[in-house]
Amino acid sequence: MIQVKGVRKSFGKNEVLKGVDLNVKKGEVVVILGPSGSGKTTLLRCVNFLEIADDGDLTIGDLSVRFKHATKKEILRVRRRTAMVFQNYNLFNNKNAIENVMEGLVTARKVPAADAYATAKKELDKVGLSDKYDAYPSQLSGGQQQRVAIARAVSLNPEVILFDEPTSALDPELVGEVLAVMRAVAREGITMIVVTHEMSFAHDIADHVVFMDAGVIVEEGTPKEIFTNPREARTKQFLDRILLKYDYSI
Amino acid sequence: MFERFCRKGAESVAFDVSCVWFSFKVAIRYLHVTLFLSVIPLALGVALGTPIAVCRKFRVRIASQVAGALITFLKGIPLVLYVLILNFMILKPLDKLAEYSVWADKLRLMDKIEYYIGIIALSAYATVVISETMRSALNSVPDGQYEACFSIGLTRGQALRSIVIPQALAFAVPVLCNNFIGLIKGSSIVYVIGVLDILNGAMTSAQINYRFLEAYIAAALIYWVLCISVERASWILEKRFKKR
Ligand SMILES: Nc1ncnc2c1ncn2[C@@H]1O[C@H](COP(=O)(O)OP(=O)(O)OP(=O)(O)O)[C@@H](O)[C@H]1O
Ligand SMILES: [Mg+2]
Repeated sequence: MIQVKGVRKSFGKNEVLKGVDLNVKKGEVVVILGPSGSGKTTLLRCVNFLEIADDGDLTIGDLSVRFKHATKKEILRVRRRTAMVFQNYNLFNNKNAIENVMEGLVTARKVPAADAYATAKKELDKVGLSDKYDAYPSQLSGGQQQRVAIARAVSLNPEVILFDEPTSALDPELVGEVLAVMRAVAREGITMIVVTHEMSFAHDIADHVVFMDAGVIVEEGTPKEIFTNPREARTKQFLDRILLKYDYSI
Repeated sequence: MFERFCRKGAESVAFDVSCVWFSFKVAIRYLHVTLFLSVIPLALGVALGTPIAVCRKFRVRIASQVAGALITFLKGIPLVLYVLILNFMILKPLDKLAEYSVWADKLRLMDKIEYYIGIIALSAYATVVISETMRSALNSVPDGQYEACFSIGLTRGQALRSIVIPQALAFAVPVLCNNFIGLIKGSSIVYVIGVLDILNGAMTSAQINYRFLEAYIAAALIYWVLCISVERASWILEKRFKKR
């Protein structure tokens, strides 16, 4: 179970998160929607301590920390229970696909190299890259890089994987392969928090949808509630605009 | 013995290849001096410049500000002034001290003291230059690489060791080779304080037969071969480090 309570974050005078609460049950897929600049990325980054929130609490399983007062040790503990998939993949450029997946296992988790290698192989096979073990990031397409990144996250067996717009840097024809992999991850029962603008995907995959705007959660509910029957005007407006823009049908 | 290599006297104006050969033979005897004057500063520059760059990159309190101000100041000073100023700053106090201490007197009259001053000056210069090389090498690694490290639970030290430094090194190696070439050529400046290196060695040969142009060309040839060798080595190293 992941619980975020009252998270606040400002950049200078710009208050980006104004007290956000988020509850994610084990095995649940939560999709966060919201217009650009609403603080979705910042929220995920705070959960992973890539940003230090100004206020609020985080609970992951039996581990509870206050964002502001977290020690280095606590931050490391949180990070070892979470994983993140970035918009720009952020694969390690000096490592090939299999080394990218092994790195966290070997260096952070102290898994013996042989076991890590086996795990990495298995995870790369699962994302359909059994022929790319030795390929360096620069030799892979965006979609392939993102699939390696997902394998890297899943291999660590984290309590939650945070996805920040994992397909928005991809060419349209590569989006499908990444979404398919994410669906498979969700089917495995891995807890996921996903920021995405892929509405039909969000509709299919989400157990719970959260709509954020201007640093607060405006509305949340099941995909059905949010997509077909939004209560708030802002949600409705956002969905109309984005569905029109991307011409998706649900 | 000298006449054997370069028979023609000062009155002859024609360029004489045999005189180049003569100067070359004299100058090459000081090859090790030039090598020491560039290799030691290179090593010290890397050893001292890297921690300075790390301090500045990670904004270590006080250290980064001091280093930043110092480097910005020192960067604007030509190499010849490092040599002249350090020569002055070391020799003058030693002269004073020698009146009171035997130890300082010994140091002052030490064989090759100007050679050590040259090494100190070139090392200071190299530290400034290489700290900037290392800083841009560290900056060449995108923030996303650190974030990916942290997101999989690496500590900062682990991230540096297995991801950031290898990538920064791949960037730094060709630049360091260029810095090294700069140091080899730059080391010739120590002639102003009378260190006998390749250039000064060639000059001494010209003082015998007044064949200055031939001496200069002989020295140039040696520097050229040295630099080309480093450049070739750089290509090989680069290929090794650049894992695509
Ligand atoms: N490191 C930072 N320094 C200063 N301001 C920042 C920083 N990161 C984000 N912001 C600001 O915080 C606000 C929210 O940004 P955030 O990236 O969280 O939005 P988002 O919802 O992810 O938007 P998008 O859909 O465009 O990715 C923006 O106004 C942005 O300019
Ligand atoms: Mg974002």
